[in-house]
Amino acid sequence: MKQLSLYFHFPFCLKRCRYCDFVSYPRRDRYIHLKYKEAVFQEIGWKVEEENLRGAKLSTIYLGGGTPSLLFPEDVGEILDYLQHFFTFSSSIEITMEVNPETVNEKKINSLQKVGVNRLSVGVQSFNPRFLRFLGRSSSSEQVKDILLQMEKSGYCSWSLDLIYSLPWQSFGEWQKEIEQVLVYRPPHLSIYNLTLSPLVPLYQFAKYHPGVFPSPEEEAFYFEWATEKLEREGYRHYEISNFAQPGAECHHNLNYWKEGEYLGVGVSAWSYLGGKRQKNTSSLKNYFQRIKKGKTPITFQEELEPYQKLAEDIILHLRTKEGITVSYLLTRYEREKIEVKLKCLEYLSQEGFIIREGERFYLSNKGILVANQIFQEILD
Amino acid sequence: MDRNKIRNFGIIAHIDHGKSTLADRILEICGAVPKEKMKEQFLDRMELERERGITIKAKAVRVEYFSPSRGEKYILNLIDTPGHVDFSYEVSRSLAACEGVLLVVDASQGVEAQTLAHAHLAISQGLVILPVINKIDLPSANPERAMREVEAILGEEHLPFTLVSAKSGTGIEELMEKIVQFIPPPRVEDSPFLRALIFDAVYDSYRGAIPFIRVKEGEIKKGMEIMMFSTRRSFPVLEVGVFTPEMKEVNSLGPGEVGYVVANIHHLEDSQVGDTITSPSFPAPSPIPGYKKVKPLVFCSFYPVNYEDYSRLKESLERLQLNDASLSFETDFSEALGFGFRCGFLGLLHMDITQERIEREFGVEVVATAPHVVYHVLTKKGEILEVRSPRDFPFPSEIEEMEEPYVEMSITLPTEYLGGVMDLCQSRRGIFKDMVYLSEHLVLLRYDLPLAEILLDFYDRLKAISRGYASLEYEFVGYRPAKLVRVDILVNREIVDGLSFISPEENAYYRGKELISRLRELIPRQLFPISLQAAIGGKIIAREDIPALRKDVLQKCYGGDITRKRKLLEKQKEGKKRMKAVGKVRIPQEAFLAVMKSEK
Repeated sequence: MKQLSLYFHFPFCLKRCRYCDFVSYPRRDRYIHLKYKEAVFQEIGWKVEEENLRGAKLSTIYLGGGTPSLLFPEDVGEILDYLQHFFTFSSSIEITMEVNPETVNEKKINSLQKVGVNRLSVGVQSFNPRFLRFLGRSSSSEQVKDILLQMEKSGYCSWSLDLIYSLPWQSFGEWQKEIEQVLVYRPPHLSIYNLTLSPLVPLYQFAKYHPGVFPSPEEEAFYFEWATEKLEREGYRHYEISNFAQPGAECHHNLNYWKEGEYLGVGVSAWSYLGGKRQKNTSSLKNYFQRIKKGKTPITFQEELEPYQKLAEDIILHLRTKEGITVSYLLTRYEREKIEVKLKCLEYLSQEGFIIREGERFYLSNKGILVANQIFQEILD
Repeated sequence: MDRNKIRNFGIIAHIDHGKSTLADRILEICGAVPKEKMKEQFLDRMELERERGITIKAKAVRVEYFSPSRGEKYILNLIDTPGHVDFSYEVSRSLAACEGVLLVVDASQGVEAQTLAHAHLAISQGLVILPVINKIDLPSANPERAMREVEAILGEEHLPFTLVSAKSGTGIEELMEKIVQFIPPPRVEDSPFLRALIFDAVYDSYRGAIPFIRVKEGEIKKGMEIMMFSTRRSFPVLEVGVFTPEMKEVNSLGPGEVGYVVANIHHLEDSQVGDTITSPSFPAPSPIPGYKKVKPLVFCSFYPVNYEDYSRLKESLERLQLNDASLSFETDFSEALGFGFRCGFLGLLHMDITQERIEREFGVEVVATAPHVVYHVLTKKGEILEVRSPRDFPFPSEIEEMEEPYVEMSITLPTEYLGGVMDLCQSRRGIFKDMVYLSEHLVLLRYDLPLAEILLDFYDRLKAISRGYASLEYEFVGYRPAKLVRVDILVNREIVDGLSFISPEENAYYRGKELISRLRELIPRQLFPISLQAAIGGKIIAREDIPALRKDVLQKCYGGDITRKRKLLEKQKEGKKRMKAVGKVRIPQEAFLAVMKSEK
């Protein structure tokens, strides 16, 4: 039976954060949330038929956004029920929902668990009020701490929090404090990102005019290396470039992306990867509604990779993980002579210390992780 | 055709003083171009010319003008001339086809160095000068001052000035009448020979090179044979015609007339600006005087950004050469940049424009190396070398003597910037010659300067120091002794071809140091540490290091990011491919261009 992951995009927030380039609209009225949910249901129905997915086994579901925690628990339950009409849920299914601290409380957390969500990803970003304000977050540091206390007490088998670093005038001491705060709550899973600003976000201009206020690449590298060491000493595995987990708490939904697994994405701006094709839905909410209403597919972009692109992408995605990539995996999917070239490249990078080779397995060294972009470019050739 | 009703004239002006707009108005008043078809600056046919507001190639248009005061119709041949010093040979040839010129001066800017140079050129050719003060409707216009300055440079009073605004059309009728009144009809000597001057040419892929000519004596007709004086090759005339401004066939071109000849000419050397056309069966005893083969003064190499474009680059240079006799090129090879062409130009603008035309008209992206001059080196063995590129420069121990080209630079500037401009000239090894006050506020300064010193940023510096008010003009005056060294740049201990440069000994150390600190900024940090060194003949004079890249990582990459990130990586990868690899190091083209801009 076909096995896949499902991503559900919820494109609404209380307000837009100043660094965020995900598709989201600042609408909190339930009416529009429900209207949107109905539209997505339509889309799911069509795509299941179109892609012949009926009866497929879902190994993970991810409700991302936006702020999906604006949904009422019963709405979330309805979504999960609706999915059960089309798919079988694997017995070990991972159902993650992103939550923002200001939109949930103890009761809501427990209700979400009751309707089937078994993993929460808490959008913390920072414990420092100055940085929360800078990022334009809706939550205060008190709300953040409150919710994390609830998470510790709750019965969730897994949960995660996000942190952002490389913020303006962020000292090493401040960064140490952030990591120490994290360790107070000991989340099973943790994502660490450096602030990356797309030209579309309000903070981009700020960064453009004040590049000097951000930590230098040297400092960033140092912050990241320090955090990695500290977290590893505390029992976390650095299992992907920007993700850390206690043993067994890795995010299976995301691992599926990095292992070039198939997934169905629904909702505004969601991507799917099915049968070798990458497809993207429209990024405009208005357009999405119009298309669904007219019975038109919301897909506005589609690509099917050339074999050489696919091979490079496959290696690059796998190299993001600590597992890395094995020769035998490649041999099951690609022609030997195509692989040879890439292996030579991996071999060369391992001689230079950017990649570690263990038997037939290749993975990024700590030095390699910091310059992963450059390594990936080498592999693209 | 009644020869007395012909007027051949050109327009000379400093850049931006409104020459092309004035030409437009003249065409318009003569009805040559219907108003609705009138694009701004009709004569500037090349897109590049329109954008930069300058004329690169000379052109000619024949229009009919009915003079209301005389009640008669005249044929006017307007011969447009390039406005820049680099093209002064072309200007002189264009002027040779005229009897008079309109000397256009901007009423607010006044006289500039180029106005002066061109005016003197016109005087030396015995042309009638009609001064035109343009842009009189600008709030900053000071026509009185401009007129006084023109009188000062021409050394004459009571000139027949016309005050116009080419933009609004004010004064144009008056100017037209003056053209007819003051510019004489072509002088024609009765002669049994055919002599016609080539003052420009265009290339047409079907009809070959088409010379633009002014017939001095005799007549050219379809069906006859013509011969080029310099190559002695003959061609059958397929068509003769005039510019209206579109090409229009006519039966014949007689003495004093201006037009074009189609004669199936497919080699550049058979259609050289300045050459004389005569008849093979009854050749004139001598050509029209003044023809010279122009010698390029400034050299640089062009390399295609993409290796595959090499043959297209060659083709585009050949095509450009067809109507630009002053452009020369030969094959060149650089370890860093691959195969390319070493090209010779009249000056910096000529170089710039050639590069832009290659990129724009032929779609070939090129890397240009530093512009340089030809040095003369006398070796200890007694050989005289023409050193065109840093690569040909001998080892210091082999050199007996060296010399470099000098120019005489004329700069006009408002008096308040005199100090700064003189400092600039001194710092560029300039030798002061003289200084003349053109008016109370305007000074003409003359220096002898090594040509190499003005190739880099002299013009920009001059403009900056004088807040844009100074203008310059220069003329080659010959070779003089010099003390020079070659500075090499080593990247990870390998000499990088294309980064070397020849420098006067006195500032080689400073320039080497300056260049590598710029390279340090321009070469991106890479996976490996990079050392940069500047050296003279094996002796290291400066060093900088670029540490290895510490961090370059795509932070998050989930389902929706994969395609975007892959495209981003592919794009970055493409960018890297365009860089030149020296060992493990990739050097971006900006680094090579930095040698060009290296400040002193």
